[in-house]
Amino acid sequence: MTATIAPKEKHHASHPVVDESPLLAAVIAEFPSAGAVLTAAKTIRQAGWTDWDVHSPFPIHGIDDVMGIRPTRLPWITLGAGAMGITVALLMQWWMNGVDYPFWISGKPFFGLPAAAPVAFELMILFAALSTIAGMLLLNGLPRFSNPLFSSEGFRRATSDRFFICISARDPMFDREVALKAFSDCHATAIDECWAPPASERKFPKALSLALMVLFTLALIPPVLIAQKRSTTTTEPRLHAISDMDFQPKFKPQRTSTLFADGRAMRPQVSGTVARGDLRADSRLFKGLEPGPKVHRTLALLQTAPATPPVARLVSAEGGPRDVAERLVALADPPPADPLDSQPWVTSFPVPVTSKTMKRGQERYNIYCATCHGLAGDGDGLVTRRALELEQGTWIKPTTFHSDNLRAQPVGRLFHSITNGVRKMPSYADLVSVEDRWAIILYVKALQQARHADAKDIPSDLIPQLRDLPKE
Amino acid sequence: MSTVTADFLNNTQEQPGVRSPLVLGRHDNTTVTERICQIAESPKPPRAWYIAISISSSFTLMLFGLIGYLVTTGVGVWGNNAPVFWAWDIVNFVFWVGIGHAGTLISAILFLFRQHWRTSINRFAEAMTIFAVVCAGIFPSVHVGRVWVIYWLLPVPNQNAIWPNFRSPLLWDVFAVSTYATVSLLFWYMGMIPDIATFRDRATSRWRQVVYGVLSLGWTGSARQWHRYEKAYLLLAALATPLVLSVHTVVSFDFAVSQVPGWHTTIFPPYFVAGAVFSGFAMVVTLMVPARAFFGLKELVTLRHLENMNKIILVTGSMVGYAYAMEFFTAWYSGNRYEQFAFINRAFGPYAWAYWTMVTCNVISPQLFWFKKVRTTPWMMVIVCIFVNIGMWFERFVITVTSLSRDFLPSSWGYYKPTFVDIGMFVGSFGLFFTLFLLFCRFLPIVAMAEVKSVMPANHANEDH
Repeated sequence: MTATIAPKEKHHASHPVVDESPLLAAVIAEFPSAGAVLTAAKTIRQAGWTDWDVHSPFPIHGIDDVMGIRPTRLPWITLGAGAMGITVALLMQWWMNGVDYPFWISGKPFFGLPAAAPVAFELMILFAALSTIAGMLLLNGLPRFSNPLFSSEGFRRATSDRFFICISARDPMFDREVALKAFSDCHATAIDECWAPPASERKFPKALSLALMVLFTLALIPPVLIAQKRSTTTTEPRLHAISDMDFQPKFKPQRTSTLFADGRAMRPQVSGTVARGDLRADSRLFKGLEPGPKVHRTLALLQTAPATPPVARLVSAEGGPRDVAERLVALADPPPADPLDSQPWVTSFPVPVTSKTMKRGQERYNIYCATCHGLAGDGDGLVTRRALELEQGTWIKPTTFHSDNLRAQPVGRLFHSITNGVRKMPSYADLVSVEDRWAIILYVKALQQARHADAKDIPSDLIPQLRDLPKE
Repeated sequence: MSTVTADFLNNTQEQPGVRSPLVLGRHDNTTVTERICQIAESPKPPRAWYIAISISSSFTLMLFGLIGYLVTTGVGVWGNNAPVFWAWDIVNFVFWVGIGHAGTLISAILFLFRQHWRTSINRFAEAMTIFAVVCAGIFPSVHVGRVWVIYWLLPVPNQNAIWPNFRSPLLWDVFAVSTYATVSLLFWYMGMIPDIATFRDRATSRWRQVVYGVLSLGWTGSARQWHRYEKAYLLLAALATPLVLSVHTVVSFDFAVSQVPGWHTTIFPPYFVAGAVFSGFAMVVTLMVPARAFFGLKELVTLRHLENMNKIILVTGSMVGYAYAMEFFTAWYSGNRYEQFAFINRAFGPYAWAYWTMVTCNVISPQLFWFKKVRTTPWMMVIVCIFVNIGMWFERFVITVTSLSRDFLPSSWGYYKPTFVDIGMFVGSFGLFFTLFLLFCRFLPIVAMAEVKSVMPANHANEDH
């Protein structure tokens, strides 16, 4: 039951509906004080009126009992909305952080009640408060901007300092004269009638509806444009309204700078310093050499000297790849004694030799080495085979690991080859960590040993398994 | 006794068996309406209003100019730098949010406790809450740096296809403060609907009729409307009470959930809430004393109201002082040398000046309210309250900056200095606050007329209870 007053035709039974005349909506009576209106309300209720209301500038204590207003169901709306707020918050947090995009933050669980409680609490309050206010307004029939009560000049004081009782024309026992009589019996200080404008004037203003339609149409443009952009492709670079950090006043690698005397933006390492984690004092682990200062210097010189003739120049010369290869051989001097042969390479592994290392080495070998060297180390990897098929003149077939020369090489020398490269093979130091390099060498050693092994090298309990292997 | 009772505006004496009136003078419903409506209805506001708003709005302009400078240049225009990455931005945020808490406390908690004296100050205090939260919201919003992607804080789908991290207290803060702002605004607005309807019905010009007519939503003051309205008000008060406690609790989590010495303490939530109420009431008194004189509201906002607020300031000030002492005790008792260092550094380190300013303003100055003379003399209470506000700003400064400037790694220690942008934005936020406040005083009902009428004895005469 709301306080809305709907118009009722003046003489509904005897006359046909006349749209053009104002309709009596209610009769109202004015009272000077809260006490007076309370007394009058008792009388009105006893007289049997049902569609009536009291209007006052402040809530009158005790009016609910006098008028028989039943408790509102608003608290239930609040309760339901609060429960929904908690549910929505918990589900949202669980789904967003626990299911759709789980990521570790300081070892906290993806979803847990303690961390979810604050947001759940806040959303409970938010949902409950919004529904309470919305529920109060809707149950009260607000907003309602056109009300016949406002047609009474005197009623304006209902929000300041006067008290009113209004009997709606919708009351089943409504009769103007009876209602006015009832009011004067209650000692009302003033009595007025509230008229609703005729139906023809109660239409929604045309200008307003036109303006709303235009606004609605304009409001549709941005989402339509966005939808169009999102569903089409373009070769143009995307529009970047805000460049964020795309353009920064900074030097990129290999650029010049006037800030430094040498004109370089990249700064060389300060002499006599070692970057954190770059000390690498363990010569056996990091270089594959037995410790000794002299050796380091020799190797450093070796690395700066060009190891092979400049191949690029040869390639650009006339002739096919075969010629190039021949000329390469012709150009080369008789091979001098390789200085690498005389280094104090380590012959034992500086890392623990375990089956775990072996497994790791196998995995790394198959990833990084087998493409050229072949899965068994014969120098017949897929890349090598393809290069030979294409007759690539610059390709040098990797040496098989099973030659006597390579079988005799100490593990330190193999480490040097992976770390610094050998012939056409580049350095793999950036791709494979030190420990992994040693693991690969361990696996290569195993490959070499396996090629020359026979049944007596295998533990006797494993021999039966060999027979089960498929025969090729 | 005789000298005091001669002044009918002084209702601060306790008379056994008699309740002090909440409204003084020969007021009835008509005069209360007249007195409050004339503030907004006079054709021209007084000259002082024009002077005040021109000053405050120029500071507001400065604030927005500096925000524009910050957004286009970057947060580097502030003094924040390693190791003090949180400085005046967070200090100002916590300061303003805390100010806001008094409004909700008066409108919600005192309502639940049936403290009828709140009726003449609650509107004023609630408005202050809204404007303080507006000022507070600016600082964390711009301190994210790239404000155009601030919606990443919200659980809405974004171009990175990731969701916010709900395990972070900073995100809890987003929810707490935005809920607080929304609920406070609606609570304030809902409370104003009957009074705006009064404005509508008294309006003489067409534009006032339309604007107040739309804002009052067609309120007629019917008993059925009042019934639901009062229930809604009670429910909102019951919701806002835990909300206001949760907001500053979550704000304190921003600090307490981290590992920084001096922040990582469980005393923070109650200590922050007490501090917030403390600073908020001080701000209400600071604004209320000049406003009641200026708008002729001394009979509605009586000395007793001010005295009651001063008593709350005294209580919460003592709680804050106790918390300061307890922080030191906890640091000593914990046996944690980093914690101990943090507090010794606060009191005797490079920011000792800030620490002792805080202690003087927050612990010592409110103790003056033990004297009735100070509690009931407007100019004295304003001075104390201004000191309290200064002290509460320094409290947040001390917590934020001293802990960050010297944490675990001595090689990265530093000394924070604000730039002109820091200072200008803080001053400008006061400009924004007062601009909004002056507009409120000019255009909206600054005292809850309907509520004041409902506590006037004349309106209870014929009741049975």
